[in-house]
Amino acid sequence: MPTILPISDIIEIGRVSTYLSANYVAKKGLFGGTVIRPTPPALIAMATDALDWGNAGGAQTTASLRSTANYAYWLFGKFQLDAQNIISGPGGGSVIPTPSGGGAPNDLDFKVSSTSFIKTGETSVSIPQFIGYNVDFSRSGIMQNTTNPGDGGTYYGWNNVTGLFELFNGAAQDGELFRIMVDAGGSGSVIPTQTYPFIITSADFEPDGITYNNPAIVGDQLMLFITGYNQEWQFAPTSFSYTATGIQIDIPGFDAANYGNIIIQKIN
Amino acid sequence: MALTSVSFTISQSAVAPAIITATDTSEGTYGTIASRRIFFQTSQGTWLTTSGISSTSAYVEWPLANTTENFQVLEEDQALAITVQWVEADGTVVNTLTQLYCLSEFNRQFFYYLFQQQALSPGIVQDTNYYANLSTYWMNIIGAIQAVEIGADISSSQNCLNRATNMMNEQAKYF
Repeated sequence: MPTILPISDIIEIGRVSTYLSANYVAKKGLFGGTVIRPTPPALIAMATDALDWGNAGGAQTTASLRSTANYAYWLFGKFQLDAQNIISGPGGGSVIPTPSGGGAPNDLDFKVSSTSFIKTGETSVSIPQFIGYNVDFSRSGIMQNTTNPGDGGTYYGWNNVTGLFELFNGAAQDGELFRIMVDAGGSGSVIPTQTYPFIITSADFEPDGITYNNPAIVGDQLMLFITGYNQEWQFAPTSFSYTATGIQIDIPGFDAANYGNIIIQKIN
Repeated sequence: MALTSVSFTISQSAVAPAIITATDTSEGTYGTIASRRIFFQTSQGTWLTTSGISSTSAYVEWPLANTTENFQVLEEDQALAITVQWVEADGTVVNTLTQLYCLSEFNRQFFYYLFQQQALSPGIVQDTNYYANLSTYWMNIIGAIQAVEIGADISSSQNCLNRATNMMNEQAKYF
């Protein structure tokens, strides 16, 4: 099942997205070019404060906070993933680099310390940029398996849907050399390019009937047409929300098994 | 034995913003101290009590047995100089401590409400008046908080709160 970001995480993402947006807008203004739908940094800051005040006070319902958080997350726009990586990763100024022109992310290569991507003593980390890929992992020059060797030796786990990377039988030790490599070929699979519009059915949903996972649509602004529901396109955050791995239908009582085809179209 | 240090914390309920919650975090033993008095002084030089606003110095009794006590004294957001006195049975003041607070939950929760409504109509941010007023409202709340936290200035803080409160009360005009 995909993990929905806690409210507190979305607030922190908002704090980071504020300055990312400000720098992005300033750079576009300095070097020219079209500023493509960046949410104004002031609006991001306001949305983050609103969510923080609502969450901290205890006066708002869980459903209200989730709905508002989803809206705020959508406002953060293109800065969501960078902000998440800054918060959980090596720190400001060192996001996982993506080669210019697109393609698979670059490998992560670092020495374990108190400030490294996986810190001393840690046993897991989230790598959302690697979702959809398989990864290979080497620690201290020794390639690791995803299978338990059975002799107490270390191995690792990687979930290419949720982006959770885990160390087993040995937490990260200070000074170890780690290399997490994206497997864009071989037995791995790259994030496919999604062609819009496209149609899904209830068979494409998770067993909960409301969750649709597809790494290829993550980051895209979408609208849905649910056959048999009504004659209108459905938009976020009113009818559905974005997750780290796809979308979740938030219409009360919705179950994909009760409806026909769903057309997914990209807005921008 | 007596108190080795006096301190207290103040919070404003988001569920019921009219209520101020005070907690005595002093260390040591009370000794001859029999009671506490708490003063809520505004930037205009008036005092808030549970029975209304007083133009002369007025306090609310805070029983010693209650480490934490709720005081329903607010009708709107206020920047206050809050004084607690620890007194003996005959009224002799043993310890006094004054701290400044910006209590802004009325406006903070209304700001959340605005974004909650905005989520239902995301395109409203394209309305120039709405976006400008939203920014002004937010700026006044932030300014009020920072005036106390950084500037220790309840007068400036109250000015910001008053503008924010006016916008909240005239929400049909501004939002």
